[in-house]
Amino acid sequence: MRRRIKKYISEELFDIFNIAFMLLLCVATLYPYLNVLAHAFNKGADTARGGLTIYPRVFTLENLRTVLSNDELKQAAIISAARTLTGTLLSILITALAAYALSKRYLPGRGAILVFLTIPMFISGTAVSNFIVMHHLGLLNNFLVYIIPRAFNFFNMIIMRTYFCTIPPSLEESAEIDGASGFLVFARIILPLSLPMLAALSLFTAVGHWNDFFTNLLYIHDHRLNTLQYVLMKIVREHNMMSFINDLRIYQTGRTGEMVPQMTPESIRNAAIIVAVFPIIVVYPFLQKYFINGVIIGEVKE
Amino acid sequence: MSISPIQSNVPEVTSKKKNLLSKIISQKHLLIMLAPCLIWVILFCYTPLWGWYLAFVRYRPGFPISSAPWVGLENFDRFLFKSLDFGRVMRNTIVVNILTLIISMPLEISLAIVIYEMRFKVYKRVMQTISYLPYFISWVIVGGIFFQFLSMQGVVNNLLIALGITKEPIMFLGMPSMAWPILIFTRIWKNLGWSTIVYLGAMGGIDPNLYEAAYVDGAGRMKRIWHITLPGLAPTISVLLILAAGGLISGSFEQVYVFQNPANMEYADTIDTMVFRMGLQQANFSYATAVGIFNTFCSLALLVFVNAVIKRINGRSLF
Repeated sequence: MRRRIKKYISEELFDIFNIAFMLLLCVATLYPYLNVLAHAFNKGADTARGGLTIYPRVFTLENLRTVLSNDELKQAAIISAARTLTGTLLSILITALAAYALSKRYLPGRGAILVFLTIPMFISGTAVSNFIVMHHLGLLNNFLVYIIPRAFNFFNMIIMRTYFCTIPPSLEESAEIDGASGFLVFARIILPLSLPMLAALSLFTAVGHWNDFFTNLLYIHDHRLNTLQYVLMKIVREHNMMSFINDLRIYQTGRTGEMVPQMTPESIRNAAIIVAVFPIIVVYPFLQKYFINGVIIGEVKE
Repeated sequence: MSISPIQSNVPEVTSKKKNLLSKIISQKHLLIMLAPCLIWVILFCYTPLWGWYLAFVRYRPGFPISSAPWVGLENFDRFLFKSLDFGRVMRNTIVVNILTLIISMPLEISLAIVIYEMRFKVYKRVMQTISYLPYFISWVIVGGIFFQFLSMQGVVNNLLIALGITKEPIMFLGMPSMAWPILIFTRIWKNLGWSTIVYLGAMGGIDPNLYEAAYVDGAGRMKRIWHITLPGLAPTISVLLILAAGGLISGSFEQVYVFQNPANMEYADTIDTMVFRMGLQQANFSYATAVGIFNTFCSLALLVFVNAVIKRINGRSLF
């Protein structure tokens, strides 16, 4: 009896420890975000006093409004959205087509093709040779450089192929007997049946597109094609922070004829972060549904 | 290539004696589907390999590559033995990667166990939602968040001053000695939650009968974790170790680039960022290519080596 009670207490302790550990982690994860949020909605002049924690002391929407009315950021947000949409669609389409073809046992030379696709996972060109290839393909300073070099993803292909293999072949056979050709079978039977998996992979691909600034840094020098993350990176690194503020001032006074309200680079930076992170926060609950339900866990275990 | 029997779901009637050509023709829709992917892989994965040639010549931008004089291994020699960069860049890359691995792996495993053992479903889900979030935030934003956090007026400095640990605010971001801790901490902060997914997947695969048997035999929770969960995770841990070995000398470019500044360059410069700076900003194409090739082969060698070691130790391996 006494042993059982003792065990009971140790189990309780374990639970308490668990909860404490998790709470600590939650705080460590959320605190920095909330801190940024507080800065974004706090008046710049007040922020300069320091000591801001997780809530704004003097609430204002001015920082956010300034960021949203800035032409450079608006243009960048459009580019980011455009590349995310088109890039994700193209990538999922090309990868799914390849995955479907490779899911067929009777595809001639399937093993050889798989090896051909796997080798680049281990040996790749360097940054310089990639740059030269992009140059020769005319992709430098071209919007397509955001889309085409990400048009195929090996890991997504493997996940899709595994999924396509689980679709009963009898479904395809009956469609073929009814006279559907290969492409029709793919579009009318395979894709609709794989919708949950395709949705999950699309969301992951889209997040990758939205978050990427490397492509922009390497291959784009035309400022009209800059993405939001890249512009934000420049702001964050404070390379052109001062010029950014000056531009804002000129822009604002030029339009309204009055001085910009008191704003510090710090407030603007935090407001810009909030703008850039917003789409991720919006799609996150949808994403989360997939990985909690184990769609992705199943794939990782492969 | 072995010719496998053609299955019945080929549109036209097939005979077993069909040769390869007619087989290809009958499967042409599959090949058309595969074509974009194959063209893509050739263009973006195999064509750049030809660029390795640059490492063995003295190439100057603006002149045709064919006119560049052949210099053999000179570019490798310059990087490995004659430059001051090599030691510094390798040290930073390896130290940050190894320390991240050593610190994060036990944390990841404990967090996965804590999530797995959590009895309250709602709490568990909330926890997962929160801890996975940073993985989906770009490095630029993580950088912005931490610049704010660590600034002279930031939360960390306020806390340190309030606790009386320092009198003057510390300029974390401009201190060379803080470069490694910042890189390590932010990488762990961003990936900790998400990386538990692999472990949770592996734990889901452990036979529940083992836990029941252990319970009947009187094993407490800690005992069950120690004797069943951890051994059950061993295969996953070895695979992750092998993969980590392959990535040991390639850092995450985006992260390092964001946190780098002239003040902490000595400790925040890694191979990736150096290749970028030398190759694409200063147009030392040949030199940067040599560094890139060196990096690729070292990674491959490490992967194969650690794979072999782990295979010898516990008989499991990646390939």
